[in-house]
Amino acid sequence: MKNKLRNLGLACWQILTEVPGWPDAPRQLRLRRLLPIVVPVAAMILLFLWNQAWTHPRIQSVRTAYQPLLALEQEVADLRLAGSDDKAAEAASRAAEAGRMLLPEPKQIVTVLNELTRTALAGGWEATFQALPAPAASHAADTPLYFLTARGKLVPSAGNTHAFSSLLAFLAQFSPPNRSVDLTRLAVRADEQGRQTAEVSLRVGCRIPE
Amino acid sequence: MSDQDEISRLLAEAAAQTEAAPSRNQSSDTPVGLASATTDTSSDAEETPAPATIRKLPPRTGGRNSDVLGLAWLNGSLHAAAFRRQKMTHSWSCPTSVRTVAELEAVIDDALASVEFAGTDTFLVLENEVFAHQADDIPVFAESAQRTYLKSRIQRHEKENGPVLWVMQPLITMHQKQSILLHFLPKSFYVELHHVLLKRHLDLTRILPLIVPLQYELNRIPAGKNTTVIVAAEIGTSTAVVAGRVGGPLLFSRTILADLNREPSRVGVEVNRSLLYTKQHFESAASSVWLMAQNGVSAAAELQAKCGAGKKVVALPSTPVDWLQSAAKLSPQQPINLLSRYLKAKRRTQFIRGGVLIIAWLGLALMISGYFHAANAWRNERAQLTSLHDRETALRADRDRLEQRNRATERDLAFANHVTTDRLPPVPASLLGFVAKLLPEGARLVEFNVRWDAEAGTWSFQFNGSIEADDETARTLIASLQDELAKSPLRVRFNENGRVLMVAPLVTPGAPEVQRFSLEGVLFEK
Repeated sequence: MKNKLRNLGLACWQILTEVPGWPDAPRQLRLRRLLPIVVPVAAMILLFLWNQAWTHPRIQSVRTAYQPLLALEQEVADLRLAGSDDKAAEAASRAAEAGRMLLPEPKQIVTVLNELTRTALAGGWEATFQALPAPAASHAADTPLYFLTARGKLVPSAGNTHAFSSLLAFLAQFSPPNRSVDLTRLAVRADEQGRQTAEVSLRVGCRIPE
Repeated sequence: MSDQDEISRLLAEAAAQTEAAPSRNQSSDTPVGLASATTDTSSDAEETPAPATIRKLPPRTGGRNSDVLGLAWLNGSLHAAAFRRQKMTHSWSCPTSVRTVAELEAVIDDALASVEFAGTDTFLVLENEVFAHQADDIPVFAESAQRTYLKSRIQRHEKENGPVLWVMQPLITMHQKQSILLHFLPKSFYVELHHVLLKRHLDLTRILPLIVPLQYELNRIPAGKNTTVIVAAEIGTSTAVVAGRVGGPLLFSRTILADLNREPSRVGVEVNRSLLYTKQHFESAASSVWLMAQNGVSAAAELQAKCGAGKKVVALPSTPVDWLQSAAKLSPQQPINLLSRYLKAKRRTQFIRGGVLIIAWLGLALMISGYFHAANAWRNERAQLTSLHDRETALRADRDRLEQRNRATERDLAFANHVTTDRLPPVPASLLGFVAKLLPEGARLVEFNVRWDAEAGTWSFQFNGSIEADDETARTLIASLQDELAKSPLRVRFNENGRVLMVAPLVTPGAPEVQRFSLEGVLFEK
């Protein structure tokens, strides 16, 4: 193996340092013939070493120093990508619209109940609504709204000959789309004479004050 | 700069060094180092002094062109001729005897000046005592086997005599045997000779044995095709004898160490022997003998006397310059060239070295280019980093604003979703209306309850009523009602335990039978 390597080295030396027509040229001339090969190779090695020993560490140190700023820039870019001003405006508009569906304060449930009473009366039913007191821990901390509850009793007005259909018509108007009023219970009873009475429970969404 | 230019420059420098500090072991004119073809580099510096002569080389006339220089060096006589497109332009013959390379070097510049040669391509027709020729008969092998056989034979020869340049020339094939002629030239001689020529920008591309131009001349002899003839040519102080068939293969060749002009009778005896050998060995008698000499008329008579009256002896006035012209007409790729193999190896070495050179410089160029681009990229990156540093405050403000914006967006969306998705659908009214529509004739509801169970997230219902029908009909009607409700969009599921059907007591005698029912269950519609 050692001899093979030696022979290979000698062959390479012979080829790379060949002086045409002068196989036994002196070493000095052979070395001069080698120069055109040695110069670029040495230059490449020096360039590589310079790059590895000087340039690369310097660049790395600068990059490390600027790393927090780069991270900040990246964070800003990510935040920009995550949303847009249009999207924010649209979300705000939707939130405002949703907010208008809720009662701004619990006291205003009286207004809602009065309105329901009027609607029922217009539909041929006499309604009596009563707001129930809101429980102390009525809402969780992470929810933006809570519900106020109320119950009511409905009896048909005198002269209401279509009690059942008018009740259905009233119930259909019970939950308007622009107000968070939901029927949670309905109990309808009819006696032997066919007189109907209804009891309802409802909930009204109320905004948690910020 | 070509290799030759570079080597010339190196040699000139070496010569200058030699002049300044003469070698202890050699004369200035004889490059001992070149006489040795060893390639052991370990002893180069010590054993191989600079081989150049001190004498300053005369400048070459004119510029480089594609002319070809032919040298005929035949047993001490040296002739040169310059050819342009195979046509001789000038010729020169050395008036003195030239035996060694050193003597050749002494006169070569005169020859170059005389023939006004300005090219580089040079061929040499050689015949001297160091140039050996061995005739042999070998079995008719396959080409590869023949090559192996010859290589082993050459290796044996080189072991005894040192490295040689060699070439095999096939002769006639008879009785399943191939006659060949091996030409050996010591490599040291070639190197020494080549060195002398290289210094003068002469690129020696062909070394031809004399037999090559003589065969060319033989084929031009005005005799019938395949006629066996013998050619005797004057080569300095010797005579070459070649036997062959016109337009066919050569039979043999030999060199007689006798001058055709001075010892014609001895040459005649040897030619006669060749005639007899030809007749006996090749079974074809040569019909004529052709004398190729500058002045062969007197010798022809002597040969005629020795060879017998039946043989035709013809003198062809011919000189080595004529043979040079014949050699010049041969293709440069013709196979009987001692340098073909050596030049091939040399070209391979030069190709490898050139490849390494190109790769090294190309690699360096690519590396520099790569680093240059990397440096540019880094410069841009650095500028960006500096700009980033300047914008740090703005970036932080941006980040805070965007975070706030995105948080607000998320909060708003969540709020809007919460409010809208938390609405309860008007299930009680829908179910009441739906049940009222599906109630069969004769049935009426007495009590109807629907309640939202916030914990379970379902609606539960329970309704009671009565139906005027017998038990079986009532069951069928109630089952049908249940089925309709189960298939409805409200996705009603009844509690099996909650279904009750009982006969109501008759209040009025004779009144129709009334069945009371009670149904309860849940709705999966939120």
